[in-house]
Amino acid sequence: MTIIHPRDHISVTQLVLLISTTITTIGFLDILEIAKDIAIDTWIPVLFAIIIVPFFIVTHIKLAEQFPDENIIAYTPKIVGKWLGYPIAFFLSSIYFFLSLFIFQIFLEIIKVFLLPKTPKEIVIIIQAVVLLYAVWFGLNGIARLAELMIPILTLLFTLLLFLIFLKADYTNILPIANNGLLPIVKNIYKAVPLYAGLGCITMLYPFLNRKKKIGKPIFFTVIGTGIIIFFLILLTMLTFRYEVTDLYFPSISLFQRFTVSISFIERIVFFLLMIVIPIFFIFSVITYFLSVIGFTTIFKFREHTVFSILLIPAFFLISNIPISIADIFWLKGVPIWTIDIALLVPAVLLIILKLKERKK
Amino acid sequence: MMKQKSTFVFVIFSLLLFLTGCWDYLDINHHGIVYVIAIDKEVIEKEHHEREGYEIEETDEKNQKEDNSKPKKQYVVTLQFIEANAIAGSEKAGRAKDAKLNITSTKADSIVGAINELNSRTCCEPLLSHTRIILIGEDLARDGITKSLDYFIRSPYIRKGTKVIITKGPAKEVLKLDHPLLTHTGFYIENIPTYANRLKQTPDIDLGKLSMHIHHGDDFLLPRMILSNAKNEIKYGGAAVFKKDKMIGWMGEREVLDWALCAEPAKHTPIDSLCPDKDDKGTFTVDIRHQKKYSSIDYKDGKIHVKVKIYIVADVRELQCHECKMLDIKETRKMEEALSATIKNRISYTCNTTRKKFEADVYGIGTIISKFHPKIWKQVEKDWDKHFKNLTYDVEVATSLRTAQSECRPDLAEN
Repeated sequence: MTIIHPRDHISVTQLVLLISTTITTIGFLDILEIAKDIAIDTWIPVLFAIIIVPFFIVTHIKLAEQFPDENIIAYTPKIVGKWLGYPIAFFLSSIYFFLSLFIFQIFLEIIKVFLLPKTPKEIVIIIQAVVLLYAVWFGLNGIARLAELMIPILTLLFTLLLFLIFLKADYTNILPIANNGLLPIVKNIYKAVPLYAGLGCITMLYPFLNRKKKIGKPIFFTVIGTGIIIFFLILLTMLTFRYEVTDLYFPSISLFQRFTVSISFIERIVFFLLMIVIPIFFIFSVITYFLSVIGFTTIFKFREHTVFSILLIPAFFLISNIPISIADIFWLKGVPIWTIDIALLVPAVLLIILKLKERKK
Repeated sequence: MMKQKSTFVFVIFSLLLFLTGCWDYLDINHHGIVYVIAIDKEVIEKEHHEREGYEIEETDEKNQKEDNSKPKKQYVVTLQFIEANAIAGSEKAGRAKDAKLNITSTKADSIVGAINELNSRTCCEPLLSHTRIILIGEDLARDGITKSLDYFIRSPYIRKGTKVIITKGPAKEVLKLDHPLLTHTGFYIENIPTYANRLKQTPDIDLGKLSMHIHHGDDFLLPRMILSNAKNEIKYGGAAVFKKDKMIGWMGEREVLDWALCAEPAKHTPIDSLCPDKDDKGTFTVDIRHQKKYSSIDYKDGKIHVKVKIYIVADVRELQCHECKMLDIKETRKMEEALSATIKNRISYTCNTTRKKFEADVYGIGTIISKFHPKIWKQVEKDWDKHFKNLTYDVEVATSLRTAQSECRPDLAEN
């Protein structure tokens, strides 16, 4: 059994902020993928995803409560058996590793395009890898504290900026609504659901919680609240760009680029936003890396996760350095969207199997 | 605990290794802050393509002769740099008395090529993030602006609020103007639109909006700038009409105002109207306070009929009519009717003439149909040009006059 060090214990608030960070990060990048097929109706699947997400929250929490001292990787083989359990556990751990990697590649691209065009990519990767190793080595608490620091600032700034943009938006730009019928929209809901990939933190980090009761409400309100903010971000992006959204690599960042506050000393709000968004991307990368480390540590039954946190770094460094174009990494070609949907459905399936087993007994 | 501390110290010190130099570091003194960019077209038909004031090596000359079969289009890019010590602070604090116009110009096959070429001429790297105005010469605009603006739309450093203006004649010439009021031509050019936009004699459009029009394949208007060398001044008014991305003609200031009343929100825009009494040749001027517009579309027998209702609330600013008592409600109603009729006639006339003259949907009727009447749009989308040519346009204007400044008397001179 993996040892949980006291420094790895986190509070429920820290857990919900970590989940909120993941929703925000994917929210920034998911627009383009949905917009490819349904253009101006992109906001509708995102709205549907908010309606669906309570189902995922409930299944994740209910399953985690069944095994309060273990993570999903540890109890999956117990529920479905070794032969099916370990592949699922390996699949989940790999998903988190690749999510970390690909979000990191997009993070690299944003730094390269917007901030440091001449700095070699390798230098950013090395610095990121060292900081990542440090953050993971010294436990979850450090990452959670970073999220605690960044998320309130981001929420405040974000809401303010979105309000400013809302005043200038052209509401007719999302018309006509569902012009090609509801079917293409429904088909694209699966692309909006990965916004909530971070819910995996519940089943993975439940053993790390210092209070394991009454976690439903804070998770529910935070997830829905962040989902609504991201919904408005996507809606405003559509209101601003209409069909042009399909031509932008980073529509949300371009949205903030479009607006300037001439009376403010910070005229170009996009750089102010990047100051917040880049650490959020970093936190996402660290959390998912940590989840994959926990996953592999549990699968291979190591006592401490520090071993895997070092072992995965070379892979992280090498794959990040593969010279591929932005078209290749966008959006998570290495992690197809449906795999994240499956990862989100796994706890529901496990819960059903568990309940059926209990009934048989 | 000791192990943790030593690891922490090791990590911190290893991070310091990366702080020794920064690839993106550039001293502020080595930045050339570009304020205005002018882009023109030049067709090269000579034996070799000369760059201004540059010698060409023999080998280059041979290579160029090979692909000289066709006349070649090149961009003439002119950058105007800000001289920081000429614009900031007081003269006591060291502000330069005579600010020089730092203008550099070059030719290249692409905009990036031209900017890179300018790097080899100036001691500083052109910094485009402070660019306020992009001027495009008429010749280039007639060839299409998408390619010439691609670099600016793509770049994350260029402000999307940068104004794009079409100049009558070469854009480069505008930057050479030496205006007595402002030390820097860039400031002069930048400040004119700020005040002129209120008059609605030019369309209010920036790089961000333009990029959306280009992407959607819309027809649109861009503001016009005319250089008057004799008067040593610039006239900012009227617009260049674009069909897709190619300029096809000019619209005058009055036509643009009529267009704006129908297509853009107008506020504090002055409008002249004939007096209500037909025998009275005088006029009265109003200032628009609020304006609302509703459009309805009918599609019958393969013909589109557009009906636009415009509601305007205005204040009287100047009255040159003989018999007009603003406190008399009947008189006010007559004035409102006269104003409505004037606006209606102006809009209808301009709309019909520009539509026939340019055959360009600058009023965005196609966009309105696609947004609010998608079923009709599906039927007309393929032959939109044909439908646009045959559509009928009907305008209804309702006006309401609120105040007449601090005086309610008719023509003060008469009393």
